[in-house]
Amino acid sequence: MAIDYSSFIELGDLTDKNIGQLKLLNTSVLPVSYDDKFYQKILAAPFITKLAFYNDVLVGAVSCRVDPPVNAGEPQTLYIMTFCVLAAYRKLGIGKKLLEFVETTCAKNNYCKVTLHVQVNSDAIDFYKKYDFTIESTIQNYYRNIEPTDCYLMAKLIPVDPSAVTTTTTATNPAANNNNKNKK
Amino acid sequence: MAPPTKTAAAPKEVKLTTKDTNTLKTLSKLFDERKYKKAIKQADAFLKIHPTNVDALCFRTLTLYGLNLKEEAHAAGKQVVRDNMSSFTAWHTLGFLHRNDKNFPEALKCFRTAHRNNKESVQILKDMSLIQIFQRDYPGLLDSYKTLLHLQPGYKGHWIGLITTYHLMGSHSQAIFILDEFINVLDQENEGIRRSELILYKVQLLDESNELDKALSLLKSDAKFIVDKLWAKNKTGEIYIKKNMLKEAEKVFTDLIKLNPDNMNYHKKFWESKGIKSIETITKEQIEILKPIYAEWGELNPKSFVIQKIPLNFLPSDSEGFLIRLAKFSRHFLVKGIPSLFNNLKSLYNGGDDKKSKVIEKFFEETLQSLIEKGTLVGSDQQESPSTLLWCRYFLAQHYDRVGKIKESFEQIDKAIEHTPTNVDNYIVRAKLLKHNGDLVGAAQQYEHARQLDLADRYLNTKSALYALRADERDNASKIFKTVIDPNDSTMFNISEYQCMWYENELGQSYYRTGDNAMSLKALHLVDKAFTEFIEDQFDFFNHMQKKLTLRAYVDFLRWEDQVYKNKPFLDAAKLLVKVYLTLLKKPYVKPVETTQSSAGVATAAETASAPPTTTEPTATTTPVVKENEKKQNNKQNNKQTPPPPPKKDDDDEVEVDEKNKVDEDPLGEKLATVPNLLEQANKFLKTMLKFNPDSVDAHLLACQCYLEKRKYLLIIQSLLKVKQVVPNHPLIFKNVVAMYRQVEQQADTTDASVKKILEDEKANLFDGATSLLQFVEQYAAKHKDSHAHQFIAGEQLYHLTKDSAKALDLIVNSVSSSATASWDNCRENLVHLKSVFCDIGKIDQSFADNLIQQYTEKCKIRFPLANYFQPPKSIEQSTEESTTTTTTTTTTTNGTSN
Repeated sequence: MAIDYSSFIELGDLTDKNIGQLKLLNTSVLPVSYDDKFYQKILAAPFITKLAFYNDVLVGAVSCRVDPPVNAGEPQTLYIMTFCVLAAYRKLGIGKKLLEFVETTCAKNNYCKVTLHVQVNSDAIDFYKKYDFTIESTIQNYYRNIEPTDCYLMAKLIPVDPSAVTTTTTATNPAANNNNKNKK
Repeated sequence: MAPPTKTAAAPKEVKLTTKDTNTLKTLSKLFDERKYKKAIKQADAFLKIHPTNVDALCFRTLTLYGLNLKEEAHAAGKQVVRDNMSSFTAWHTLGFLHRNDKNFPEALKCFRTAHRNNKESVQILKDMSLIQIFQRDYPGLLDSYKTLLHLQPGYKGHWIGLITTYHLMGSHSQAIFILDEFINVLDQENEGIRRSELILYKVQLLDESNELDKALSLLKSDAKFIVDKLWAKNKTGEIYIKKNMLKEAEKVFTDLIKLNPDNMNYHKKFWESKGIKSIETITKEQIEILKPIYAEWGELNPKSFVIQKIPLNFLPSDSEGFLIRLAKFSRHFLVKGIPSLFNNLKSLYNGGDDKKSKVIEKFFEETLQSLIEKGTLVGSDQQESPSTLLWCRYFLAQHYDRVGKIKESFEQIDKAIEHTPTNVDNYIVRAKLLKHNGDLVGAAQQYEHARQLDLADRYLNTKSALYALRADERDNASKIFKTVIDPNDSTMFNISEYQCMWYENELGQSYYRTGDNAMSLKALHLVDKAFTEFIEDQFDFFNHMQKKLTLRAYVDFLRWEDQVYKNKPFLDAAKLLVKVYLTLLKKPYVKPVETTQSSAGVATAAETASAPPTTTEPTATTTPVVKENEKKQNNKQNNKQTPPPPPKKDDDDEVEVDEKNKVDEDPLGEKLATVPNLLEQANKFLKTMLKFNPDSVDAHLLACQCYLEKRKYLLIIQSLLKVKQVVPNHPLIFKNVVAMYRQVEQQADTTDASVKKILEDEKANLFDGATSLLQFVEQYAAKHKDSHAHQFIAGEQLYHLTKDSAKALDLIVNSVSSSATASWDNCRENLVHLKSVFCDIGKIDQSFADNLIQQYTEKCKIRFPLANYFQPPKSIEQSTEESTTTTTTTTTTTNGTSN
């Protein structure tokens, strides 16, 4: 008999007070490590971070960056920099919730595409495929200090409202509107 | 405190013109507005014309006081009194100065004289009555109120004062009589809460004077006016119990538990109504009575931890019910991820036997197994969240720690960290485990790691500071603590201002541990200061009570004040204060070597090598920053001290004497440590301690040491007998007996013959059958082979007695490894004692002393490998290297800290 885990999962915001937890989460899960500068800059726009809590404990997080359009006049895109869920907490719908957040953010702000890099041997590839991401290309020697060094560039197109395209350049970044609400 | 009234011009004076009277009025206004500089100019000008005008002279005195020229004010005040012995204004003014100096007995004397010279002044009587409450001078207070009522019979506050005075004096019937009159005649228009308060106060009076029937009928007849229904109901139940009407009481408390199932007092009273005095001494029959009741309540209140937990307390460990309840109770915590499960079950470990803890261990080990293998709880097929496993390990780590299974405890917490590295609570428990095993430095680092994960958590911020203090990293602690207090002021100032007594006590202990006795005194005196402030709080509540008629709360408050020194923070501070004074007596204060740095530099110099604050700093830049801040602060303070030339006249005139702007006159505690009468200082705290905690073993043992210094041998015997009653085998009884007889032998010529006779007679009793001191000591050492504390003291005393260093060394050093009772913290205490007292008094051979300390430390190091105190001080690289290996075993978290 399985229980409904979704009632235990809650999404929350990143603040300068709990950023230590995000750092610890990323270091625990990801093969790539990021320096302090990375964590200092992601607190503000154009970066968007969402934390996932299970029973009030941080177990997953996604950090994205809003990228300028590929060609002028086109909508902006969203690039996922880090995406992780603690091993013990996978297959409970936490990743799904985070991804849903990413896509809703895109829809709201008219970002037409989500992209990410993933190591060629990663378990995560299946996860992304399940949610309709496709492999666009393979980049050789993308990583420096980890094996294998190759990665895929994966992407998912988000349907955009064409009438809103022109306004995207001035679209506000939701990260800037994040009210830095404190968990405790 | 308001200044006294400046009523009534002095008699027999030269008649003042209207202009003069107006000048006096302006003077009064200026004084009220605290424009002291202008006021003093006015007063001086006026006095040139009327040099003997008492009012003006008094204003001048008060103004001087307002300008913080206290000595001049006192001199002036006394002079005015001398010249005008019968002027009530002069006496009133002098009393005011004393009152503000907190010299209450003197203030009372002055107010009394003032009153004698003007029996009509309400203000004098009011001021006097406040001091009388403060001094608990009830007869005097009664007179004051009677006179006040004579002067102002319609003023309600005086009636209230009279009633509470009768109550506090124990004349309940008088109090009730006047209260009735007051309600009937004067206070009929009172409605709502004020009326309710008066009724409930009367109930309290009736209850205290054992007029239980009257109290009950009043509660019933006036029920519709009573606002505080819960108090009334609770009181009704209590009175039923007093009257042995248990059925009625049971009903009352059952109702109350339904209203609030989490109030332990209701439960206790409920048990009482069932004839159960305490849950610890419950009989089998009584268990059978409670079982079905709590089973039912448990069903009705699934969310009440108290209701759910009580059965675990009374059910025997081998009963089936216990296990079922335990499973049900803990399930909620494990599944929801509530960290406080262990804290809730902790009380079950305290009983004399360890049966319950064994059942708990077995249950949670099985739960863990089931979660690992099947992902379910025992006896269930429901798949649990992954976090349930985490919280199960989290609980087990604390459980193993409690029952002394060190290896298992670390194993569980490390696995919990591996499972969910982002769970902050994991690190808190790991810090706790390290602390319990003596790795205070590691514990502080671990806690700081937890804090870094959630910087907005006040609990983590304060606790991390506490852990730093325990590791004697005082600078770190202060830095961390600045996140919860005003970061612009010094920590010393802040903790005093916020009456943060735990910090003051911990700081005092830390300084004592590292041998800085002066600073220890300084920190501990802040605790004493806070208690003095508690006492003075009494002044603030009288007027409030008169207005709101909260007489019950007021009387309870005064009674609490009477016992305020019973509180643990004071007891803790006082104990250490006495210890430090006694240490200073043997080892007088030495000024630390001057460094070129300011106060921050001295603080670091005062640190001992065991915990240099800089070694724990990962970056060297922080220290200068702190110093700079402090410098800035000093500058700021200096600026405030000497006001700059006045740009605006008005601003300059308003001199406010603000505590905050005072420069710390004794930054190193030097003045406290060099008072000429150290023993008297110790005695002062000892007296308070013994008065309010007459059963405290520690207080009596400290008293013995003071008495020994003063050669009051009979008092020693008295105290030792008291200790014997509580802890018959306390090792310090032995120590004090030996020390006393040794001293008497040495000073035989100068000891009083009758005292000697008594001591001789007591020998049979105190020496445990031995005929000589030496025999007593040897016999004692042999008898208590298994106790670390006893062996240690026997060795110490043997050395004093025989100078047989080999034997003493053997006893002291082997006490660490041979006995099971040794713990790292009492070994640390012993080592501190060896270093600071035993080996430091210059009376023992230096090579023996060095050898002793070295060997003792060595043994401790082997026995308690985690305890930092016994480890040699580390260099910077070593300590950081160490920290990464001791802090965490998993690579993930190491990365987390070192990034």
